[in-house]
Amino acid sequence: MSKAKLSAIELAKKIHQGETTSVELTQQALDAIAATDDRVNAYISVTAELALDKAAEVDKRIKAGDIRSPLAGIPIGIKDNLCLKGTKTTCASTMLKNFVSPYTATAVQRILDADLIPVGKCNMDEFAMGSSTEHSAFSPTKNPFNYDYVPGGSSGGSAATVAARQVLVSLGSDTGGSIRQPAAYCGVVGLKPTYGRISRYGLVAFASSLDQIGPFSHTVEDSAHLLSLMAGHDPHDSTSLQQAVPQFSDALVDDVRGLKIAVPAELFGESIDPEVLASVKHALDVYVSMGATYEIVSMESFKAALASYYVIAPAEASANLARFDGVRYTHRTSEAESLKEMITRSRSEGFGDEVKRRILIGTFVLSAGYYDAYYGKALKARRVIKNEFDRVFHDYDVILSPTTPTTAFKFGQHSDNPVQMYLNDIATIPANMAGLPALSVPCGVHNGLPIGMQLVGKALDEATLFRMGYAYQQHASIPELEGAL
Amino acid sequence: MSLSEADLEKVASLAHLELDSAHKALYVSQLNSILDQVDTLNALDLTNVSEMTTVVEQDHFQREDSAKKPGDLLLETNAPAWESGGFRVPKIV
Repeated sequence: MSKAKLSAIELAKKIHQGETTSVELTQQALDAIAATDDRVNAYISVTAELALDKAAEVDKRIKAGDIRSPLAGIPIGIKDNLCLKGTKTTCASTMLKNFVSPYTATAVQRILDADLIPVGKCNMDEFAMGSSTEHSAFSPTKNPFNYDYVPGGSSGGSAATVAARQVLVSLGSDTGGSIRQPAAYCGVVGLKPTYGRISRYGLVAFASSLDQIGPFSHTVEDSAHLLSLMAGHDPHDSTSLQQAVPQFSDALVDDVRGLKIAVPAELFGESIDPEVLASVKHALDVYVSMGATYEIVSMESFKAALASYYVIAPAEASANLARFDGVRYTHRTSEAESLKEMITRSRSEGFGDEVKRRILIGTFVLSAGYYDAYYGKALKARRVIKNEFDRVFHDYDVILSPTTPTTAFKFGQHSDNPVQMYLNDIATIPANMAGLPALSVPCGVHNGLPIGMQLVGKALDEATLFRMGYAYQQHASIPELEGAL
Repeated sequence: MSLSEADLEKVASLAHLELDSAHKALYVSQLNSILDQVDTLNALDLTNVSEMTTVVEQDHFQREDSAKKPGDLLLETNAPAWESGGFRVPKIV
């Protein structure tokens, strides 16, 4: 990595050693956003005053020798479905366009306690439902490498701001691939931790049994540090795991000798673009040259993962989004005479088409007479998927595949065909269904657009993913993209 | 199975959504294509497989049941209509 393109951890060292300041870097980030975001649209709101005040505080602490984390002083973008007290959290929806967070999400609070600097709230698909960020009520985010192409989604703004180097790190959320898919499309590192590893308190719920918060960065090293800062039990989230959190930076060793990689045949054939397949094959060759081994394995249940997901996630979403009723903190219609009319009109005006589509599916599969045929069956399929992961992890340390079947697609390419859009998540959804950690790492370029590979690990074994990803970044040679900016 | 426009209207009513006629036709078509995809689940042998609602294997953590004063919840700031310390809504009865 060239000196002009330092990682967040390298830049933080420069702050801590007095070579630069947090205020200077925060101002640079704000200037970069001001100069480029009319084209990228990575942000829904910019928190400049809050950021500069916090950076000045942090600089004082650092000067006094109080360095609260290895990333203290580094600017960070935050997906706009994570609450930050006193700032708007819109979820990219008309429904919440004026909502001011009354409290701060635990993951964000831990980032603030570690003295990172929140510069703004990142664009996304409305309520995190989408794979392109086209479903934002605040206009789509553009892929920084080619503005005709999507950045992926739903955390498209969080991926694009890192890819465009407005900031070096950001936070997103991942329900079916919403961190890993945009990370792959934007050529950055994206991590979905084990379900329960990071508290979901203060994350606006989409599908509660699947949602996880995670970081974007350029390097696996930065990702490991960010997970260490955010992970750990939180009494405000009953699904937050109570297990001890390792120091993930200890896993950053350039040694994969003896590690056994499984490659699912279902994600390594005709369903994947040849250029993507070639890049992932090359990555496997790099691992073999470093002393790891791989085998192709059959994971047939993956064929059912997409179908199962598109029952379970909308079912949970239809229940979670019932709270948006126009009464307490959401958009309210100006024309309604009865309470029922007010609720129905407010929801119909406040939600976009994709959100309505998913609420309708979810309501249908949970409605009387259809539970067994759809929801019950999908929950059983989920068990089959989990069991298949357990079987493969009995013999292998990690599962490697492409993160996405293709590189980024053009705006509007899948707008009329939701099933085609959903197929983008075919490689990422299984890890959500089983609650497993998964990391997307850039592994190639085709026609000026990035390609990502996905590493899925055993539950709570993010360390092996970091070890694999870190070693790959030390040895792989990937063409550097300059981007449209 | 396939979803009819009448089915869609019933589901929309349950979900408190109103749809114009253009959207009804679009959603019937799109939802049916999604349900066709979902029907691939029928290919799985799910005999003796139990439902899995969550991957969390620990007992859900529960906080001590003690009363605490909340901070400022910004109720008035976020309320679409606020009056005399409450949310104003259309007359119910």
